Amino acid sequence: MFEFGPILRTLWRNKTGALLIIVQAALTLGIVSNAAYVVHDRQQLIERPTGIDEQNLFTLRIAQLSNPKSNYQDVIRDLDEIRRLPGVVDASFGNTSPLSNSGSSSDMTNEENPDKPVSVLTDLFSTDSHGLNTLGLKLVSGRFFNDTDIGFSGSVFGNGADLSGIVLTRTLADALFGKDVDVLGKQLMGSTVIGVVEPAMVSYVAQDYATGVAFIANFVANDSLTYIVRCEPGQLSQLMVKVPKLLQKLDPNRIVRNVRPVTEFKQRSYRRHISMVKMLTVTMILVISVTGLGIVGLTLLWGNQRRRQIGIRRALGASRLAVMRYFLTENLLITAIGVVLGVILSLALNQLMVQHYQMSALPLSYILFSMLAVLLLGLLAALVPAWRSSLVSPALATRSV
Amino acid sequence: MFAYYMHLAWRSVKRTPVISSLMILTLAVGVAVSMTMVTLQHVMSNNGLAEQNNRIYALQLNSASTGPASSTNTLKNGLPYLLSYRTAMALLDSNIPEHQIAMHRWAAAVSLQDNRVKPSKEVIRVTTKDFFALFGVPFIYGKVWDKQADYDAQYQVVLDRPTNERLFNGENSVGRSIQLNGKPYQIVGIVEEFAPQPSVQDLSQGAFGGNAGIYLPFGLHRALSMMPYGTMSCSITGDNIQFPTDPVEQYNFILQNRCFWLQYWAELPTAQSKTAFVDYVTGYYEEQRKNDFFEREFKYALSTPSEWLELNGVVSNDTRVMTWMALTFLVVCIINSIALLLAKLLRQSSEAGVRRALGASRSAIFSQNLLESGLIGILGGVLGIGFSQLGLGFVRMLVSRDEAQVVYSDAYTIAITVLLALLASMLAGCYPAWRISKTSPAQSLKSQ
Repeated sequence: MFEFGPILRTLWRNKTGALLIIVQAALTLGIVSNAAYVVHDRQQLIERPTGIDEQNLFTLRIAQLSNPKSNYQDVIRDLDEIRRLPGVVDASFGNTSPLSNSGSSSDMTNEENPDKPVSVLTDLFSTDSHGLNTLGLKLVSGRFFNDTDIGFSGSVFGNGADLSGIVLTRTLADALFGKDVDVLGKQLMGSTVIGVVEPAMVSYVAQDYATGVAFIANFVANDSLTYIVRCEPGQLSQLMVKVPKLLQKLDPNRIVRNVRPVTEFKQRSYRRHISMVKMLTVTMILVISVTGLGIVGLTLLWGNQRRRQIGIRRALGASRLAVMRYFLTENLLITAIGVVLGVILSLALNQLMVQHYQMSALPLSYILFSMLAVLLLGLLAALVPAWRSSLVSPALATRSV
Repeated sequence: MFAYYMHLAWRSVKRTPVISSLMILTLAVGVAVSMTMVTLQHVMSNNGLAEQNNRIYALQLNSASTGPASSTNTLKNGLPYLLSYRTAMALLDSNIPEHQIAMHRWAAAVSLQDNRVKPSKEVIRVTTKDFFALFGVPFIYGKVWDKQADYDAQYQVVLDRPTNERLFNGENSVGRSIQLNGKPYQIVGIVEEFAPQPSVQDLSQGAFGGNAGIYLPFGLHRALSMMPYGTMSCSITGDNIQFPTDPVEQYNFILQNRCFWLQYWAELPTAQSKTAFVDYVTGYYEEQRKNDFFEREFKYALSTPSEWLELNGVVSNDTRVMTWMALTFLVVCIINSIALLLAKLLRQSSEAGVRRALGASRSAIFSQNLLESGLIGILGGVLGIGFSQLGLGFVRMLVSRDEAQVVYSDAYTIAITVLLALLASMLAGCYPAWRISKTSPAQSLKSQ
């Protein structure tokens, strides 16, 4: 049925060509499996839900010309005016722009059990009573801040005792006190937990900066004081022009700067991963094209070289299908050997990446998937040249002898 | 002879236009992809302070507390990458280093009294006076502030050339003043631009975030309650620590505690001075360990600019992985070209057989075929250099704006590209040419 014997003997007579394709298929598998895994890994990281209404948010900062510090009364006036604009859902201040990967982080320690304190690196986000609605977060239990909760502790590492309360994301509450434990009323860093919101990322998108978010109602007048504006869907770009104009009109003696959508901060925070995904995707496409086209070219050349032999086989009664099958089997055989070698190579490459560059280990599914992909690539690439070779007329055999 | 072989090669290339262009394209893409990544890695590892590599050192100390989960930012060597104000002030007292600096990044609204230029928020470097001597930044006008300005508040400022050009059209502006956050500062000097990329002197705000065009003396901290425009991490543990509520005391608390926010460089030109400085640092550390300011065992690191780049991971693991992937891809392309070329030349072996039968030597056949493969290789290489510019354009769209400014090929990377292209074409050409020259004429003729 399958002409393994003749195929192997033919290949043996032309070892180098076959060997080159085997190595090429193996390297292709090595690149594709590792690249596909990294791409998928990073894409999952980027697509993690943030829990905030990032699409409709933008932020800006104010730099005062005369005094570096903003006055609380001015900020309240500005935010009130912004909220009055049509198309604005809500506005509040924050100590940084959401998803910008910069902010204030601090260790929070649960000291309920003095012998075994639990410490968690926390994103400390200061905002006002509108913060919950502006970010689009959902309250799980307790309450968020009201206007009288605002403290003025001058610095971001404010004294817990100065604060009227602290609101945690569920993730942080879980990490500090245990899964689904009711944390309302518990003491944390000298302050009382008054509310819990659904899991969300606020200042940071990277997990190594913070495990969860602790919201505090604290007005810190420094450089990074940020206005956060939530718009109705479709109103963002228009309001990004209107709001700065309004602020400039309210007080011309200041610079309104860094007017940016939150999606831009998010993209910037993930830039490293986004560029890795794009570069690896391009590399994968290129390596697949090169190998695919290479196989096409080679099968064409080999077919042309053997026109006479094909003619003889056809004259002796082999059908077109049999000729095609011969070439496809030959190709499949070569790619299969390459793919088997490629599995070893993929694992070796991945091992090197794990050892030297802190990448994670390649799951078996990616190897299996890439094996199939490379085999399919070999088969598809050989299809047209094989078909062309099968067109050789039996008369050719008689003519050229 | 050469012209004749060239003619033959060209005819052979023309006879199989599809296969030949496939080989050329394959080589071109391989060279382009690997060159793009090599260039990216090259510019990211560029050491703008290479000349001072054996003289200046960044200092780190094992100064984090031993708390349950210390949030202090550390580098690969496990040491915090910044120093506290208290430590920096103590070290500045030493007279062992030829020059030494403590510094950090700051920002302020910059304007002129007469409002000639539009006010803007600018990044500022707050540093002790040795900055310019240590990094070799020459003065165009004026000179650096006095030593006293490193300790007491003196409202003086040094601008770099581009800033001076923007604010004062490049005139000698020494003696005039600019406003920072509405307060006047007297200009004492104008220096050349100092903006190494990556900004080796301060990598705490990304690989390109440490450069500034305005310099302020170090003594202004208390007067302005200056906080860094960048990273400050505090690691304050222990019983009975009360964070003061009064703003002045609060700031003092930050200065005197384990809050890490300063970069520290020392110029130690000789081995003796280095040893002496290490002794000094050891002495200080052990003394402060007794009063619990340091809680961990003594460890330090003095890193040269190139070690500092490495420690800060400026060339990310991602870049390295991509570079290896790209080089593997080049290998795939070369193998692919060898396979195609081999198959193509073998098909022409009958021609070689005829030539051999007519008296051509093996080396003649070899050089004729090598010329053909060389032609393909060189065309591929030239095209590859062109393609690599497209690749770099693609990378520039992906990286940050600061990085995009430096992602260009220079003489070094172009030279590497040319070499790589030549090597690729030689590798792709030699073996097939050698194989074909070994065909025995009789066999080729027989099978005709």
